Amino acid sequence: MRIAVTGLGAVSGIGLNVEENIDALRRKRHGMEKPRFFQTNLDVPVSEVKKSNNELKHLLGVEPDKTVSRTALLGMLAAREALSDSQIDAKAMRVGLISSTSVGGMDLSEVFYNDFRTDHSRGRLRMVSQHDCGASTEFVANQLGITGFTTTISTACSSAGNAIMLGARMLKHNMLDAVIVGGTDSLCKFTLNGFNSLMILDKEHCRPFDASRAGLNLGEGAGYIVLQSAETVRRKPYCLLTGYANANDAYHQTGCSPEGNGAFKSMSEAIAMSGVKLEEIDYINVHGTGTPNNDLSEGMALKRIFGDKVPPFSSVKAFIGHTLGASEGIEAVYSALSVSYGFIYPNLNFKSPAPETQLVPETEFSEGHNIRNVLSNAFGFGGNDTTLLFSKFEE
Amino acid sequence: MQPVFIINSSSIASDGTVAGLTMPAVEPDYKEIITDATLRRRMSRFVKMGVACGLECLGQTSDIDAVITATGLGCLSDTEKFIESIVVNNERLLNPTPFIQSTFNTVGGQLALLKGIHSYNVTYVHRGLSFESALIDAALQVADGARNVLVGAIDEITAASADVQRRMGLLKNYPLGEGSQFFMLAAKADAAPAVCDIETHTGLIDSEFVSVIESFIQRNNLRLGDIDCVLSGSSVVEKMFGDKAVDFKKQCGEYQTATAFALWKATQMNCANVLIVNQYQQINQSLILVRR
Amino acid sequence: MEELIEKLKGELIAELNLEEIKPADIDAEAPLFGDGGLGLDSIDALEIILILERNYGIKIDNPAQGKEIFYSVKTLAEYITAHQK
Repeated sequence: MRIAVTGLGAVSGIGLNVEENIDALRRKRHGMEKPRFFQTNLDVPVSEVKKSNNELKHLLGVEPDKTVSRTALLGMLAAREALSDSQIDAKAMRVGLISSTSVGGMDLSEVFYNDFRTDHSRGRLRMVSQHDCGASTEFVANQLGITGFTTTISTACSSAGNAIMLGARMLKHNMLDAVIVGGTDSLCKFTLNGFNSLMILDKEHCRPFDASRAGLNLGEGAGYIVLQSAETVRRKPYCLLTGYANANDAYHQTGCSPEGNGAFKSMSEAIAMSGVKLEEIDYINVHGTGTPNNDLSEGMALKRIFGDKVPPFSSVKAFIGHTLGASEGIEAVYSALSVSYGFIYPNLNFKSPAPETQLVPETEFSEGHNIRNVLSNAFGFGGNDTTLLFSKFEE
Repeated sequence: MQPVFIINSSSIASDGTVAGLTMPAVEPDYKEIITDATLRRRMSRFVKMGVACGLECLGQTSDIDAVITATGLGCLSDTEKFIESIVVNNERLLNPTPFIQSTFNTVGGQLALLKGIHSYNVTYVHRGLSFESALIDAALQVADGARNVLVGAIDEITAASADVQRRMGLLKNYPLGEGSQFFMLAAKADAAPAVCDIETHTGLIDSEFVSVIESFIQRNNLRLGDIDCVLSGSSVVEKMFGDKAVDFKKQCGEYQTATAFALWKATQMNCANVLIVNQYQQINQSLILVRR
Repeated sequence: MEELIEKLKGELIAELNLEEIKPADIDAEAPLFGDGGLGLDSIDALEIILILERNYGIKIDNPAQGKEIFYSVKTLAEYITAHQK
């Protein structure tokens, strides 16, 4: 079965829908600012979606006094766009939703906790009832009328990649006819402080793959794609999903092995699965968070696989930040469009290559390339490494 | 679906003793199971419970094709610890360990680290269907050629969680439970119980659930009378199966991954056909058929 | 210096949760990180940075510096003596 990508939806610090996102990438307009929409003492750049919760509810037609986590609102916006884009008739097919998140409803729970901590009878229950990861997924499924298999994956930064993989496998096993896959995460104090305590945040705008890179910037958003068999499509697919793999670095709880073993494994296996030759990979959407550790590990893995012929590559994280559970969802959308329209996205803030790998990313936006295959990486805590391979659709 | 055989299993669970609002698990001496003190020292109870249970199931093996874990609420105590530290320290000088440990895939990651397992590793966190999702993924792995797959679940009780759930009215039927179970699955094994079918739903009313159960049994070429035992966490089942229904939640309490306990119980029984029927609160419903 | 070294050993044991280790078990000159010593890792380095700031008022901005300064309990004590305000 050929797995076709037929719908795309994305919301991030640079746009509320796919078109706005691509436009910002084209114009090199990043979303990084000091936090505006949530309270924190931490003075670091973040890429927030530039709408308050009330504004998001208004866009979605959700009553303003209904308590909904920001993660669920962002997820809804992107999933709705993807479903509509695919033109599938959700009533005539078995349609599922496989979402991912790392934050879940923590944006609300951390507010609940302020009241609850000194007196367990305090705190409004509706603020903690959506704490768990599954809550945002069920909200989106309900709102979109999805009645097929629904679940939530949470493997930190690789989550959405794993959701996309599971979706493809369920299609191949005829458990679903179409599936909305991806992820959503909102910013919150818990996560921002978590990354800060690990000392991997950059106090400046991040510089993926640059020699002077000093850490990552967090972002929020949601990204979903719709997968279905190429035989059932109602519109021309953006591309095919021809390869995917999940491997574990098993090196350290939060750090990556300096040789990039997990990344090497997930990339090699995804490429092998697709049957695509190395020289046929025309662009790589790297994970590229901007931490000294990740970019070194990923860079080493790229060199181990491609030698001196590493294809054009870039990280979009200086635009949208590291959106954690949403990252591979949003970046899958960008990757699919890269195949479809020949886009190559700019890697911002790059000045000089890391001495260990000497790798130079693309620094300008360009289009109209013949992009036959795109590799997309997502590497998370717990050594979770996932790689997807998207290929040109031909009749 | 292609049956998957359970060639080994392990459990850390309650012995049925109720303590106030909760049914705490009876825990082993973790030092004996997680012998690496350097790794063990950072682990909270949730992580120790899951890692120890996983290690018991793995035994000497580390040649595993997939590690798939499930949890409903994850590591609550580390989550609470980190949020508290944010408030008390006003976002300054925070210890990173509770944050790292609070990530949902911590147990899966630690098992991979401890045993050097570089293969497929995923965690499901979807309310009352977390473990069922993990089991479905594991079955797909086996169908796609995996020789052996480790699948397990972990959920823990904390005082805060018990208080919140009581306030929400979620502890009316059963106390709050906790525990961890792990299973080693393979494509074929003689004399081992096999998971032959799994189905999940959300939001069914009782009458719909009854129809779903009937269709499920039928599509496995069985009749109601062929089911030797029903491990149930649902009142709907008592009417359908009478004496054959055993309420497993009386032993383990109510929590999102309680079905894992039920599956473990099923592996301990010497019946030809065991049906697990679960309803997590009024939200999720699931069915698992285990046959020998 | 001896007093500081003993105090540090206690703080390391408490903060890093070194359950089965007593101060007498720690050789003040043995490496803290990697094999052959206490076997601490990068997360421990972050926690030691916290100890320095909370208990001694010394701020370390770059975690990578940490591993050099913290070679052993002795070098740690020397650093504190040199930099404490």
